[in-house]
Amino acid sequence: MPGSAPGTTESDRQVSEIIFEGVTKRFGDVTAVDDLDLRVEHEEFMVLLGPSGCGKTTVLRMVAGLDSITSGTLRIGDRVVNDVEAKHRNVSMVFQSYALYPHLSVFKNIESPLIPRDMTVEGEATPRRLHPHERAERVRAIAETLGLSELLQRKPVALSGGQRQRVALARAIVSRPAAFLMDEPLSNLDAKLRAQTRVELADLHKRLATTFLYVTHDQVEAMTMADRLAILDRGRLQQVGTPRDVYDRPRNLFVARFIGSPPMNAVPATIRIDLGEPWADTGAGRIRLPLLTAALADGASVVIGVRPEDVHRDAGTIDATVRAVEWLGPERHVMCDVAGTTVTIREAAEKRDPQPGERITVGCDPQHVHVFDAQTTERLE
Amino acid sequence: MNTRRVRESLWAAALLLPSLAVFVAFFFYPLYRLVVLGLHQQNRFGTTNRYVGLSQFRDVLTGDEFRSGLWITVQFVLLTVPLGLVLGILLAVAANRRLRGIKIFHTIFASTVASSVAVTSVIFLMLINPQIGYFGDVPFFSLSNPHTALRGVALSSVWENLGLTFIIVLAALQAIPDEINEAAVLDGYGPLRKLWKITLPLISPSLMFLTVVLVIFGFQAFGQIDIITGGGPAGATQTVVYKIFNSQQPIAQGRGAVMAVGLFGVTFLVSLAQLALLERRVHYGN
Repeated sequence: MPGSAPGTTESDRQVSEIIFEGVTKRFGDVTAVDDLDLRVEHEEFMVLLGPSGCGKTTVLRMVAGLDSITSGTLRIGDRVVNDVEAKHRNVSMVFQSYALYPHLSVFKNIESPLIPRDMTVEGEATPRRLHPHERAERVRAIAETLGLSELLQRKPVALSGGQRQRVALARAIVSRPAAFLMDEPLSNLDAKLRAQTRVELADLHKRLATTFLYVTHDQVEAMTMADRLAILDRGRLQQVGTPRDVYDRPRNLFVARFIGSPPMNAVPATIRIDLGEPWADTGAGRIRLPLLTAALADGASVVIGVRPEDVHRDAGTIDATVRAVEWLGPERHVMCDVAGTTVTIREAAEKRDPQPGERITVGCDPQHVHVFDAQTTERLE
Repeated sequence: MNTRRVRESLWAAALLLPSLAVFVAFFFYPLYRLVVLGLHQQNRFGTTNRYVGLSQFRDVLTGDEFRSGLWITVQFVLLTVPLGLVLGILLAVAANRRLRGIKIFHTIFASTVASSVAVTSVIFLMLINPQIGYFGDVPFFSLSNPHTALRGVALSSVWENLGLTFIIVLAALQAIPDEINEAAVLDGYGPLRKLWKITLPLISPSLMFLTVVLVIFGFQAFGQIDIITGGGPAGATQTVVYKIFNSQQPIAQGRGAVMAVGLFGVTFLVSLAQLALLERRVHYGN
């Protein structure tokens, strides 16, 4: 049954946008989330991305109802949920530690959200408590989809990390909530399993057709799974957009440097207008900028940003000295010094090996140069 | 067996020797002397020591004195253990939250751990003394009535042990990860269902430990009985330990020894039975 969860029907579906309007959360004097305006669309896979302590988990906990909201309005679907108890919000959460009940079997863990609440039953108008055999049916159906059928009688302690993670997912899915909240659910898995689970989660999102709000600090997870990203830093929303948007047009230097690995090169420079054309003078040579706009005034201090893959060796106008070379199989990272700033070049490994200490020139296509205000760090266009 | 294993076994024996020596000197040897004492009868001056064999064990352990003492002891255990556990759990659950100043309540609730049986018993006696106590005229635990006096002593004992129960349960509650509690809230569990289905099973190892220890405390209780009722009124609060204490004159020493061995046997069997029964229901987490 493509496009729907195992056992669900069209009538089960509910509109489930999550809308933040000026939401702020303070813990004492610390502002964890500052004036957040964000709309997570119905059935969207939204990833909240940011470094440790940026407030992303607090955002998730406010949606879950585990943390109160200091000010602002939070809506799920068409109702304001600021004062709605967690259990009445119709959302479910996968915790970083999975938070499985260690004394209960896999079956009982998955069954637990079905016991205390009224559920919609196909062909019946009003929700009601499920009979034990109906619960068992739903648990078995979910276990089947997630490959847990053989493990239902086991205790969590007898499961591998990946299996526990799937049990946590099953427990979140079984009650057919309006939205799934996930707090770094892959961070306890090894690299190989993580890559595999990313694909499975993206697939699950398609099948369940439900809103996912997913927190991570791992940009690979964010870029590969998200419909859209919301990037947070120190409690403030920095940018919202598709992974492509955010990568190609970062709104400020923080986003530019946070997304992408190795991070975008950032070199301080001064704007020079020469015969009506804008240039950035780095102190080690100048580089042509894409277009002259009102934002670029002669003599203005800026930071120019270029992705490592957009910097070319021996084809430029800027002097550099090679500091180190990292060979990574198909590609190579060349670290060089440009007027006291380290610039990384990412290039195909078949090119000639540069030697540390070698003097080279670097350059790039003006179309790939991002310009940021040195003071505000905002993008200039 | 190869030489390495022999050497390791010898090492193990050598390392166990000090604690074995302590056990022999302070437990096994006194127990042996107690059994020997129980096999003999003394005259009223303690000048003769006649071997009477196991007949004294049979007479005393099936006699009215030991049986009535044991019945009072069992009642005392039944009055103190369940009430003490429930109160300790309720207090710990109530105090297990992040509130400003909660540490003050933790200290107050745990305070009886730091006071001796004598102190708590004297305080309690002042409270429920029929003549001067503020609660002296409450019929439910009146000390002047043989039918209710044991309840008064039991209350004092519950209070005395509450600090220990509180500390152990609170520590167990605080060891439950926050995320488990939050998962339960999101799963729709109300406070009572969460307590019953999630919290209590997760702290069951501590509850089993407390049950066994509190039952042993109940069987061994002496100080509070001696201070609050002195075994009275009309012998209504004479537990086995109290009767053993009363067997100090030479002629009763043999009988006292038999009762002491009997109490040891009962406590030992009850503890084993509890471990066997409760162990199956206890969850040791991962």
